[in-house]
Amino acid sequence: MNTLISEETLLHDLQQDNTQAKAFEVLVSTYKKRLYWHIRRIVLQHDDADDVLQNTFIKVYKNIKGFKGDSKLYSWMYRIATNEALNFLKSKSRKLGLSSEALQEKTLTNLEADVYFEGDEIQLKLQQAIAKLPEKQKLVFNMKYFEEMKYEEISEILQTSVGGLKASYHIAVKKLESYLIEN
Amino acid sequence: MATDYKQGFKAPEGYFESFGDRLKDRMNQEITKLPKTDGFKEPEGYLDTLDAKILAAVKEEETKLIRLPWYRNYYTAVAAVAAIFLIAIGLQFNGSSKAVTFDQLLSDLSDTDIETYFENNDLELSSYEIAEVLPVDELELDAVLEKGFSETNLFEYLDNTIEDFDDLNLEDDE
Repeated sequence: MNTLISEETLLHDLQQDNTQAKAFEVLVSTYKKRLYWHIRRIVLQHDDADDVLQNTFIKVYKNIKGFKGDSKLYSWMYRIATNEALNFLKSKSRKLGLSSEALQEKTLTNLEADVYFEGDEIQLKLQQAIAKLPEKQKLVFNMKYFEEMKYEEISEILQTSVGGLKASYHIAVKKLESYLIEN
Repeated sequence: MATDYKQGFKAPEGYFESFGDRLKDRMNQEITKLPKTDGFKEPEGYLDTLDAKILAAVKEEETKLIRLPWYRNYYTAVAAVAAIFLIAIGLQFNGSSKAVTFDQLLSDLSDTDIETYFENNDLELSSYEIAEVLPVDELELDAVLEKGFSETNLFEYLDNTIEDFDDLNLEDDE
């Protein structure tokens, strides 16, 4: 993943008191778009994605000094974003007293009227099909197909073997194709 | 023209030469059965103003403090002042057989003395130190909460602190 500033330098600056503020601005500017779209494809609604994105960066800021560099900075951030988004959905379904499936159904129904969704019929059908996938397959499909990430990158974020990811992706694509043909 | 003379079949001219390209096209078609974009969009200008919004949210989070009104620190004040008096008296009567109990000391102190001491001295107690001197089991939660203890506050707290709701081992009533 290309960045204007090397991850090592950025991480070093993020962990020093005198350079942290500036480095954090660079971090936000570099990753906001990618993380927004990653989160948006999980939570679907813009306002929810906005909340989760802010929570993600707050969490990154709070924990950056404790980050030991065991993985790449961007994959650590993606992992936080993924967890935040999934926990957000769990929390939302609890608050509304709905099962996660019912919440997903409700969100997809609302998608048609969402001003920030301009998909045609086939794109809406694709979202309905994606919603029916198991969580892991959903994540892998979005990251590979729409975000065009490499298996190695996804592997580091989801902490799953490349082989397992390839299998998940293949199964997901087959299921989605079948759903679109049948519907 | 490719011909299998033994069985009399033949393939169209150039069939095998162009097979690789046609197969590639077909495979691309298979993949493009799915739409290449997802149809989502962000509000106009959203990403341009996002940096400032996130930085403000981080700053707000950083400066968020739980401030307790002075009178809610009453227990802390009592404990702190009594401890100071204990040490002072302990030094003064070092070696003496007179035993001064905490309760006796406490009863000698007026509320005004305690409040005056607390107002004039910055004790700078951390939350851990407060927790050590406060008899938590005798306190109501309302005594340390600025806001009311509502369901919304509880959800907000759980949202911000619990990584995974499964950790709570909640059971559905359904």
